[in-house]
Order: sequence, then C-alpha cells, then structure tokens
Amino acid sequence: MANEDYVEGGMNTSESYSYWRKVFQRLKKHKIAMVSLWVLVVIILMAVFAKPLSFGNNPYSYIKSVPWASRPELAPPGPGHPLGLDSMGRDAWSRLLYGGRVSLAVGFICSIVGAVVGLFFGLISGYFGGITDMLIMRFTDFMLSLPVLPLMIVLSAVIKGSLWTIIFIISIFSWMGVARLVRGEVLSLKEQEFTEAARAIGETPGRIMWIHLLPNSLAPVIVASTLAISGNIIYEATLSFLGLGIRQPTPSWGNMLNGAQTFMLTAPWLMWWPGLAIFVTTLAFNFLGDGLRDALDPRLYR
Amino acid sequence: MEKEVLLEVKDLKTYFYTEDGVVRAVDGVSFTMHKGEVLGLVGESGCGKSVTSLSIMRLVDAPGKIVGGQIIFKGEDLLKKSEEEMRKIRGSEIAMIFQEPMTALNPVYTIGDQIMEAILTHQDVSEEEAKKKTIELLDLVGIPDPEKRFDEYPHEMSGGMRQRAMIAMAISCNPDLLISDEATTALDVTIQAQILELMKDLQRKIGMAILFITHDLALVAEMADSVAVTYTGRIVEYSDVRSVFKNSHHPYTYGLLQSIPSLLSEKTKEPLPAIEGMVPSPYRMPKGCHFNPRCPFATDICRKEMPELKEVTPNHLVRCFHPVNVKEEVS
Amino acid sequence: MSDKKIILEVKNLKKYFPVLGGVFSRPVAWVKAVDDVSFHIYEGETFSLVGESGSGKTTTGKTILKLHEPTAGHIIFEGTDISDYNASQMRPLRRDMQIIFQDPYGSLNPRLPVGEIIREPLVVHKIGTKKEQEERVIEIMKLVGLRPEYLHRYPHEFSGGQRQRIGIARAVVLNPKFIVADEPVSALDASIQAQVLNLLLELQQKLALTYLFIAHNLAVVRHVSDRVGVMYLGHLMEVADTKELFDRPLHPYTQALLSAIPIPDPDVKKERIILQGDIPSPINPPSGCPFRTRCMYAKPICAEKTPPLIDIGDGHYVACHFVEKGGKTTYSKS
Repeated sequence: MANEDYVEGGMNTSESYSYWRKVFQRLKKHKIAMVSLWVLVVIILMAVFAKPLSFGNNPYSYIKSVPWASRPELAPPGPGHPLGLDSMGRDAWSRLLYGGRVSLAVGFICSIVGAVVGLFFGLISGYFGGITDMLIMRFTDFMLSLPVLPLMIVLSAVIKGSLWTIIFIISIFSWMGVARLVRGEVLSLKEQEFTEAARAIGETPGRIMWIHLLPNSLAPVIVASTLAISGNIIYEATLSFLGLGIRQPTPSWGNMLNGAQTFMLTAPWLMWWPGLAIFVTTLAFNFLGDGLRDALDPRLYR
Repeated sequence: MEKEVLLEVKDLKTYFYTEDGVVRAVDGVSFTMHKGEVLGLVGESGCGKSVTSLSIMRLVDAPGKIVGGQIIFKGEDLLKKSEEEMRKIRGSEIAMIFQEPMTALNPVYTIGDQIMEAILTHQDVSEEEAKKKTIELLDLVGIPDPEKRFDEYPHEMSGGMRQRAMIAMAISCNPDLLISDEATTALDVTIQAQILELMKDLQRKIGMAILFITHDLALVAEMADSVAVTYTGRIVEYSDVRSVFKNSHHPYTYGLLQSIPSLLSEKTKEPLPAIEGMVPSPYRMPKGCHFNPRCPFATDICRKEMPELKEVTPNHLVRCFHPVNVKEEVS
Repeated sequence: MSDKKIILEVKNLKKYFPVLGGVFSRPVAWVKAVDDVSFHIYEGETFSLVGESGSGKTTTGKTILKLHEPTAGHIIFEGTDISDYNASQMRPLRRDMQIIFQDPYGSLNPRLPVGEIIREPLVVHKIGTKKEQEERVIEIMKLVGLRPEYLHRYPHEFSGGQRQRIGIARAVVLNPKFIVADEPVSALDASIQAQVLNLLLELQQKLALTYLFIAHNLAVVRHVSDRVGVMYLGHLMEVADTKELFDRPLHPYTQALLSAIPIPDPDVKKERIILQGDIPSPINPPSGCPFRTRCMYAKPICAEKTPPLIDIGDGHYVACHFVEKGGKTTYSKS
C-alpha cells in the first residue's frame, strides 16, 4: 500500500493497547479513585502483613500487665501497644490488623462468589431465553424480595458462626444484582453481529457464552462487585456487632465494635479505630467503584 | 446577472479537544454561496463536512470548538453573534435537515404541533393562521391527507414521510439557506428519488439556497450547481458541478470518480481502479498534503508542505502541487 | 448454462417473524420477511439479491445459512436438503458455507485480538495444531491484504475497511465453497468500497467461491454479479442474468428501481419513474402482488392474485401478470 509506513496501515496508535490498559489509563485520571486504590492497597498489605506489623503481639494473648496503667484491661495507648489493650487485656493494634483480614476476606470472597454465580445465571438466562430465562428471573426476583438483613441474622443465629459460614450466608444474597446486569448485557450482545458470526461458524452455546458474551459483559459486573465489597463488609460488621457473626476470640472489625460498646466513654479509642477502619475501607471501595464505572464507560467501544 | 452573495465561509477552523488528542475536524474551509444556489459539500467520513454545517449553525458542542475563521451570512459574521441572536436565525433564516428525522422530531408531539411551533416561534401570526400554513406546508411537501396527518406522531409515519415532515418544518419560515446533512442517506433508493425531486421542486418554488452535504457523489451530480470536495478537514477541489465531474483536477476527486462502479461501464467483474490506502486517523495525520500517502502522483514536496487552494483553471480551485487533467476547461 | 452445477437451491422459502403482544406474549401478527421465494445459484457464480428495506434479502441470506430457522420451504445445499437440520447436523456443513456481515464494527468481538478472531473457525472445527492454525491465520491475513504483524491488535485499532477485511478473512479461513456476503461494502467509505470489491472478486478467483451477494446499491451489483434477483416485500419479482436485467428490465418495480439510481454524471438527465407512496410494512403486505400499491400499471387482478415467478426464457424470470413468456409486456397505465 502506498506510503503505508507513514500511516502505519491506518492504525490508530503506534503501539497496541488492549481494552484493559485503556481502562486503567482512564482510571488514572480519576483522582479520588486512584487515591482510594492506594489506600486500599495499604490496608490490604497491612492485613496481609499483620504478623510482622504486630511487633510481636498477637490478638489472642492476654497481656499480664503494662507499666503505664494500673490494670491491663482497657489500658490506653502506650509504647509497644499503639492502640492500647481491649477489655480482655488483648493488644488492640494486632486485633485491628488481624480483624482486617476477616473483614477483607469476607468482602472479597462474597463479592467474587456473587459475581461468579451471577454471571452464570445471567449468561444462561440471557442466552437461552424462554422458559429458562423465566425460571431464573423469577427465582432472582424472589431472592431480591427477601429481607436480607433479618434473614442473615436468623441464619447466623441458627448456624454456628465461623468465618466460612458467614461467608456462605452473605454470599447467598450477593449474586442477584449481577445476574440481572449480566442478563441485560447478554440480551443486547445477542443481537450484535459478532454473536451471529459465532453461530455461523458453528460454535456451541457454551463456547459462545464463554468466549464472546462473558468478556463483553464484565464491565458492569466489575463495577457492581467492587461496590458490593463495601456492602459485604458492612453486613459482616453488622452481624458481628450483633454478636452473631464472627465469634470471639477471632477478631473482626465488627465484633471489636461490639466489644467496645460498653466502654464507649472510658476507652473511646477502642471504638474509633475499628469504626474508622470500616468507614475508610468501604468509602474507598465506593470511590473505586465509581471510578471504574466511568473508566469502563461503553464509549470505549469504537 | 451576478447573483447576490448569501453566505461566505472564510477559513473556518473547528477543532475537537478529545482525551486522545486534538482532532482538526475543519481546518481552514472557505466557500461562497449565492442566493438560490445549491452547493454540494462532498467527502467521506472524517472529512469534516457535518462539522462544517454544525459550525455554520453554531451548534458545535464540547469537546468541539470553533477556533477561527468567519461565517458571513447576509453580510454579518455569525461567529460574532450572541446565542440569542443565533436562535432567531436558526429555523427561520437558516434551516437544517438531518439524516435521521427522529433527532429533529420530538416523539411526544404530533408533527402538526411541531411545525406550528416552528412557525409561531419565528413569525407573528395567530394560531389559526399557523395551523392553516402548516397544513399547506404538509401538502406542499407531498404528504397525502394533510389534515389527517397533522395529528399524527412521528413514529406513526414511515421514514420517507418523516423526512418530508422535517422538510416541511425546515421550510416553514421560508429560510434563505437550507442545510441538508445527509438527509437522504438512510432512505431507500425509490424514496430517495422522491425526496430529491421534492427538494429540487421546492428550491425552484421558494428560491432558497441549499448546502447539500453528502458522501454520495452521484447525488451531488444530480442536485448541485457547484461542488466542494473535502478531505480531512479541508476543501481540495471547488468548482461548478460539470468541471468537478468531467474535468477533475485533484487526484482524490479523480480517483474517487474512477473507483465508483458505473452503470454504463462494459468492464464488469474486472478490478476497479481503487484508491490505495485509507483515510488517515485524525490523531495521526501525515505531514504535508494529507492525501500524499495514497496519491499516485505524490513527490517530495507533497510530503513536506500542504498545498494552498489555488485557481488552476478559471473558477476551478484545487489544493494540489500536481493537479491532473489540466487542459482547456470544458465550456 | 445447462452444464453448470447448481450449488444451492431455495424452494418456496418462507420466514415469518412473530410480533408478540398481550400479557402472555402471544404472536399477534407476523412479519412476513420472506414469503415464498425460490431461486438457484450455480457453482462459482455471483448471484445478487437486491431490494430496499423490507424486501427480505438479508433475511433470505441468513435463513439459507440457518441463522434463522425457516418457517417453511426447502434449502438444498449441494444436493442435501438442510431445511430441518439441527445445530449439530449443521456444524460440519458450516465449513462450507460462511457469511460476511455488513457492519465492520459490530461483527467483530471487541475483546478478542484479530488473530484470535480469524483463528476461531479453525479452533471450533478442530483443524490443525495450534502452530498450524497460527500459520494459516498469517497466510489468510496476507491474502486479504492485512499485515500479519497486527494479529495481536484489537478490532478498535483498525479502520472500517480493514475490519471488513478481518471479517472476510474469518469467512474464508476454512476454505468454504459458498459465502453469503450481506451488504459487504455498504457501510464503507466510497474510496474503500472499490478496494474491498476488488478483494472479493480476487478471492472468488483464487478460492473458487460462490457468492450470494446481498446489496441495495445497483451499480455495485451490476459490477460484481453474474445473475441478479430483485426482491420486494419478501417476494422475488425478477431474476435474470446481469446484463439482461439492466438492459431489459421487465418488471415495473425493477424499472422504477433502476431509474431511481442517481448517476455520478451531471450531463445525464434522467427520465425518472417516481414511485408514489411508501414501501408497505411487511406485517401487513398488500394482497396479491405486493407492489400493486405503487405500480402505475396496477389492475384489479393484481389485488386478487399473486403473480407467480415464471420463466420467460433464457433464465429470465418475472413475477407480473402482464409479462408473458417470451418477454412480451402487456401492461398499460390505467
């Protein structure tokens, strides 16, 4: 082709960029989302490296005594114990860090489970239509109409609350929004010619869903799942706060709040820190979700 | 008899500031229209023809911005007017019809109401008179049963009918200039023929000028008195319709006309003489003449400098260092 | 002509789409997109279907490939009646019948690199090892005029004309015999159309392809076709060799269609047949001959009886009450 070197065969850019790289570029312009992203990275790292960051303390041991307070219980912050000790004489700082592990684990895992289950139902429902669609959608509607928090409370009272049961309980209620979103995307994607092209090649429905429909439905799923993490953390915190979620002695931000309630006036810092942790984390995920929503805007399709 | 100059566009520049870079959609476009003249503005995607018409109407939205030039309409520069003044001009002195009539027609109002509104906005007449005028207009544009159609909604009409309704709305205030931006592109060939006949007919009756924007060279050959061929934001050839078609001087125009399959050619099923390469991406324009990578006649100077739009034969402007077919102008 | 092999035959094909309404989404009306269409295509030729919107040409093309299930009628590909074939029966046949779409933007999965898009048919039909598949992709990319270095790039990085080439590459990678080209150049810029048309003709020579070419641009159709079928509201109105159709159009609709085409020559003043009225909706087509509402020769019989598509000689078929065998026309203005 004439003088193609100059226009590089008409390519829009000199180097290739995939959709995700473009998304990340757009995300970088969203200041608040990027700040939130860094904050979350720090929080996650702190949870992961809870052991070394605890300076030799651990969330379970009962400290015998501290030099600056008469009793170890509810001791204020001091050297070696930056957040003091809780009502049982345990180091609050390490409890905060380890508690972070629980809250973040719940947030992420429930979100991922919700995304996977939602994707599954949404893809099948949207692609096959007809009775399948009707059944799945009615089931989804049914689940959506249930009162989530009261049911979670009941379920966690009935089933012994370990980390995995709590994850299970919260996950049950986390997939419906994604299912609907995915179904909507699939319905419109089904009409696009590249789906028809796949059928013309003779692809099986499974392959069409996996290769063609799923990757193009991810955008709303990512946004919804990111925002859902906050919700899941709050559910866990609520359940634990009510004494139903994570049971002692395992720390979680929620049950730390529970433990700190009674001592609101005498040792307010025991409440501040877990509360602040929940607040900052959920806010950060929300901002990140908003930023992702803008970055994933369909205007990227050209 | 020298016809009066209606519109003079001088060195118009409209740029779009996108996140991927600056797109110089219109980069120094100049042309003149006389009263009652039909000017065909023709080009492919990315040539800037639609942006030109939007610029004339001052309807360019962010991230686009008119950054230079003048648009002198009836002696006054439209770029210096306030939004208030422009609103008085739009719809009454300059009207526009689009490719998709649904963008101009509001789906929740009947077409009768919408046309009446256009009349009442710009003219000082009673509602009764406006209604009467509307029905006359619907009849004028060839909509059968105009009294009945007055109460119809846009979605109840076919594409051809909607286009007629849009034309009725556009000419309701007897504009001096009608801008037709790909108005027939979405229509079927037999409907398109109807609409073109209508436009020619109306143009004769009302004496308005038409800025006819299209990518279809055949339509231009049929409708236009003069033709301006655009490529990547600039006019590359500008003359009366016969000169441009029968005696093209710019390699792009010439190449384009050669590459269109003709209904009269004997050489069917043989390779068409095609222009190589593709329209450059607006973010990566070639240096020098923008057409040079695709031009079979390009030389060094073409790759370094942008040629000026110059008169090569009488009244025939070309933007090229090596214009083709330069012989006696066909009279 | 009689020694030519017929590769595809369509007999009395019908495709109706239901219009659903009411509380239980029952069909309340039918869009008669394709209404009793019969024609055949010879091996190695380009047969074009032309028509305006609502003509049913695209639906015909897609139904032939079983992308839509036919409501009635027969599709016979290389002697086999595939009308009732299910998806798994169709799968092996799909190696031989492919499609090129109109929209260079919507017909490619934006998430897949171009090399993967072209490789996909090979993967689905389990042809060759991964390495062999990749080699084949490079070979095909060169064949359609794309630079193989770009196989890792994504569709949005290419221009419209290049994307169409990618679609063409995908259609030919399995070495099919028959391709439905659905308005392959309509969405492209004028200067690119010629390139892609040339490519299609070149590929037809190199790969011995048969094309069903669907288009509304008659000049393009005249350039690429051997035979042409004119459709209106789901019916075939006229079929003939290209030259014959353009030199001697016998059906009133064909005549009007041809006269409506604008010519890129300001000196040619055309005597236009301007049809009155709009194209009726295929949900409620006129009785008898669907064209009668706009035909200047319409008589009462046109509303009573649908004219059959008859062979008037030399492979020229016309569906009009006033065109007889031998080509004599007896229509008159009322």
